[in-house]
Amino acid sequence: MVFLRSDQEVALNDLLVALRESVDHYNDAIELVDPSPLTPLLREAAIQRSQFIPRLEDAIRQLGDLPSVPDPDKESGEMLIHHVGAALSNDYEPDVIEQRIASDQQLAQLVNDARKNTSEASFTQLMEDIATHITQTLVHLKAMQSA
Amino acid sequence: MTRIIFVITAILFFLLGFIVNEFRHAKILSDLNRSTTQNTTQSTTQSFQNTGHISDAIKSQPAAPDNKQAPVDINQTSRQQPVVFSWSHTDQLITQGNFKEAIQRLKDHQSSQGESSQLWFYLAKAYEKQGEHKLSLEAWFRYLDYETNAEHIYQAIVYIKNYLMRLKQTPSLYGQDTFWLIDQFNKLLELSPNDGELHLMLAALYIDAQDNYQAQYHALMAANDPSAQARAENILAQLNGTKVPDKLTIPLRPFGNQYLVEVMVEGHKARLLLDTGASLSGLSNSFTDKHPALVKATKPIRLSTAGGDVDSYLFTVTRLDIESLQFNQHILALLPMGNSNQFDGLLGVDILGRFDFVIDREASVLRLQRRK
Repeated sequence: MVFLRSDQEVALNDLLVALRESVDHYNDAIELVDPSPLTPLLREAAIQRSQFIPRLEDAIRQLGDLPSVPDPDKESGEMLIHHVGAALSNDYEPDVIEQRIASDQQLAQLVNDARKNTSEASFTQLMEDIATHITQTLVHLKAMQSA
Repeated sequence: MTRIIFVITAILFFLLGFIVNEFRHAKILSDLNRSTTQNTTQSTTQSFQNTGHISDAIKSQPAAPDNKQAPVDINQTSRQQPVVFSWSHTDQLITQGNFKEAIQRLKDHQSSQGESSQLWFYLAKAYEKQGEHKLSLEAWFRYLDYETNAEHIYQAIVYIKNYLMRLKQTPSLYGQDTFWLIDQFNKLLELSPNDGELHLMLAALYIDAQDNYQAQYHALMAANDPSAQARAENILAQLNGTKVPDKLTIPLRPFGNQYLVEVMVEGHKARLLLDTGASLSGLSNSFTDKHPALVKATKPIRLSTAGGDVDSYLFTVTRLDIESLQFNQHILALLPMGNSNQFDGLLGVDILGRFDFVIDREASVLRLQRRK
């Protein structure tokens, strides 16, 4: 039997998968540039972001859906590309910043999609918290980029 | 005033009934889970007793709904006058071994009231006791589709895992249908993707099904879980025929502040960058372009990068040698590296992680030691 997910369930699960991937990529990026002035920002972003995951999982379960996980092969493959890039570059920091900005902008778009499909107050607050965190991280990343 | 009192009383009774039912539901799941966990943590010898326990359950089920040993009152009541459906009555029927009637009542309830977590929970339980393990597993997964309580979901996942492990020990219980059992483990793995034990089970089942590619994949995934690592290594050794020396020293060539390792891929020399942070090893597109016969049994993957999506794939090489180490049927990733030819790929922890290893920077060697 096929289950049709609601738009809200799809939006929240897409966001959850992207958030999990984002935490993994932030942690991987730390290994690529460490030691670097960028490391504390990456580490802080990974820690703060990971705290949204249980809240988002609960929200998805409240809707009667099960939380999704990223495709480990896809995630490993993406990390390999970053590792190759780091190995071939003398200074990989600008690339890491660029990747994180691009990824966070996509994440912000997923939050907006989820917001459009979310009306409950508890979910709305969660979306606001995630959006605020992403906006702040993007501000810091862009500041590092232009420094 | 009387009406208000009546309404309040009715609401109170409804709430009381709901709370009692929820409590019973949680308790039954908890009891089932506890007994299963106890069973699977016993020794191998006791596992056979465990299997016997399933057989006993099968034998102890009533031969027919009108079994005289079953409590008469419920059966008589159900024949003489229609009984209003209740979860507690269903639970009672199952407890008394009246599975057929319990299942019929649950199906009737499904037709009239639709599906719910409770419906699938009781169906799973009844089918399991009836020895209908395929139907029971289907119902357990449907239960997970509907259950919203995180604690219940966790308990059910643990229960299903133990249930599948019990079934695996006794193939006759599921008609020796290995592919069906593989499907069930894969479904569960979607809910618990980092469980090394599940990966181990799948590796063993895929070996039975003679699918060494999948077997190796799951053994490698299991090797990432410390509690399953030793057993995963055994499976990998069985698959690869790798004879691992106690100690091995591999020369390294400096590359910036990193190192290159020389390997042979199906007889072709390749320089791989040693990368202790990479979970997979891979070969560059320019290397595979030069040796297209290396690419077999591909699994496409679409990778998101800052520059847009990139298509890649995993593939299996027949043989990969590093000094005297030999790896058979090893999975690698295609690395889109453009025209870069400074090295031919990455050597990750899918290979290195199978040893205790140290990079001796002064001597420019990699020291590998067999895991104890």
